[in-house]
Amino acid sequence: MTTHHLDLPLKADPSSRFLPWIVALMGYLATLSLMIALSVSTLIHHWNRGFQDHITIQVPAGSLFEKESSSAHTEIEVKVRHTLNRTAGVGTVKILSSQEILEILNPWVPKESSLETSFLPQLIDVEIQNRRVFSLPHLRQALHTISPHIVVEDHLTWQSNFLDLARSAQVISFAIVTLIILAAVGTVAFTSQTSLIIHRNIIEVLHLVGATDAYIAKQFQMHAFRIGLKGSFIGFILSGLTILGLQFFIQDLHIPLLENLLSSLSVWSITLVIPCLITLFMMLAAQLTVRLSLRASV
Amino acid sequence: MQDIPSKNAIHFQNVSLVFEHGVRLFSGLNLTIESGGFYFLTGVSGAGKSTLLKMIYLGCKQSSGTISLFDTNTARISFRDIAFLRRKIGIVFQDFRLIPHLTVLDNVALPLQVRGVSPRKAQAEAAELLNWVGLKDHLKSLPHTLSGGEQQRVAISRAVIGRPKLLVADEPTGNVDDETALKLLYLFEEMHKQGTTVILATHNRNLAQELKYPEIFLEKGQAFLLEPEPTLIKEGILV
Ligand SMILES: Nc1ncnc2c1ncn2[C@@H]1O[C@H](COP(=O)(O)OP(=O)(O)OP(=O)(O)O)[C@@H](O)[C@H]1O
Ligand SMILES: [Mg+2]
Repeated sequence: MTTHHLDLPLKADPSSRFLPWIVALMGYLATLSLMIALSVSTLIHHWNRGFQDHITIQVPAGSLFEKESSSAHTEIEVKVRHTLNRTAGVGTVKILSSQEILEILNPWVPKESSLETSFLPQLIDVEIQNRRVFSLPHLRQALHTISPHIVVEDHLTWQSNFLDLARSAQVISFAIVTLIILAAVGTVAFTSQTSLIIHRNIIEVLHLVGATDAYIAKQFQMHAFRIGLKGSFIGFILSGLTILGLQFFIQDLHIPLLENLLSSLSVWSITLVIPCLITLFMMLAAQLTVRLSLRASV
Repeated sequence: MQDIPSKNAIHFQNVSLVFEHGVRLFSGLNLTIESGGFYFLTGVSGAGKSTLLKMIYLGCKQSSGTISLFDTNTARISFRDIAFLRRKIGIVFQDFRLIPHLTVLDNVALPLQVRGVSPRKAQAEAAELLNWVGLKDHLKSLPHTLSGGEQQRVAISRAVIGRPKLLVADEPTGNVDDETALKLLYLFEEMHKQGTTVILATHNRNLAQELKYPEIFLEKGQAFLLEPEPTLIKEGILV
């Protein structure tokens, strides 16, 4: 039975042929964008958890644990430890093994990498218990007198720099999603207006047999719903395939952070909101355009 | 809008119509059409029959004067109420205006469907009506595959399916043979007997005078209401 037939032959409009593909492209780009935003969120979360209030003291390779000068290393180590013990606000001090250093670098360095551990800097992880009494410049100066090669890295600084960068990436991704939805709204408004002109005779007859503007607008909305759903889900599936392809490609690289992200069910289910949003906004755009245009043409 | 019975179906008071390019069709036209009446609307081609009907079904707005439908001033009706007012009016257009991509059945069911009647029920009623006007073999046909007379019957079916309070028909018997014309006139009379106000536009004044109903005659931008004169007509026929 033709319960869902349209009195208006909107399906035959030229726009009905290309619109689903434009919407598919929009859905594709928006889904990828949101995926990036979500990945960055996960990344930020990961880092916030990974580094609390710590500083790292880095002694360039070759200057600490060198086999030839183990006495020199012990001397520097003792001096560093001693300085740290005297510095106010410092908590636990831990010299990281090369295994631990690799683990920190883990998200970035392939698992089975055969990095020459002797090229790694030696790292001392220092927990800061009380920032208010701790003075970084003071410590820097004290360590400099031990060895000018020692570098002190405050996570707080570069972490916040990194967070700024990550957050901008996130904002840009969301802005892209918003722009794409606006573009979908604009496209629907434009094509609906064209259809209103093409079918003005039929619309006049519908009005004369007693159809309200709402009845006519509903037909356009239903049409937008079909195109929106079809197009944006095609885009969603294509973006899914792209991600899966990417995942397949980077699988060989064994970068655990990315692997986790891409196979995360929650990320996928959140991105499902994109086709739904696009479809919803297209329906609203059709409804509103038709109502306003009919009102204006009276 | 309330559905209290109205005394007058249509009331034109001092209505003028001037087209965009300055051509004046009606000036100071006065006309009262009582509820439940049956009227012929006559006048030579170009006298303005179709345009007068168009003003009645709110298809075009007068330049000045007031038009009341069912005792309601049409200038004071909201957009939404225009749709509800039009549901009380059945229109047979001179050029039919069937929707080309819809089947005959869907075209006739349309007025019910826009009122929110379920498609199944609307189509059942439409099928019954089409059966009555002799089109039961064309339910699934598209309008352009029908003859002129058949399309006219579809147009009439669409106009009457909503049981309108007012039926305006523009040359509804123009394209059919005499026998079918009589049958259609009988349909309009039936509706009139059931209380519908009927206005039939025709340039065939003989038809109007034979059927002894009042005639609205359009000439030089004015409307003249002529009451039937049965004896004269009788004499005319006898002579
Ligand atoms: N929108 C319009 N713009 C300009 N002139 C118009 C318009 N509509 C109608 N007219 C003119 O108004 C006059 C009346 O037209 P109308 O169609 O009402 O005549 P009619 O009595 O129905 O004629 P017919 O018997 O041939 O159907 C005509 O001269 C027509 O050209
Ligand atoms: Mg006419």
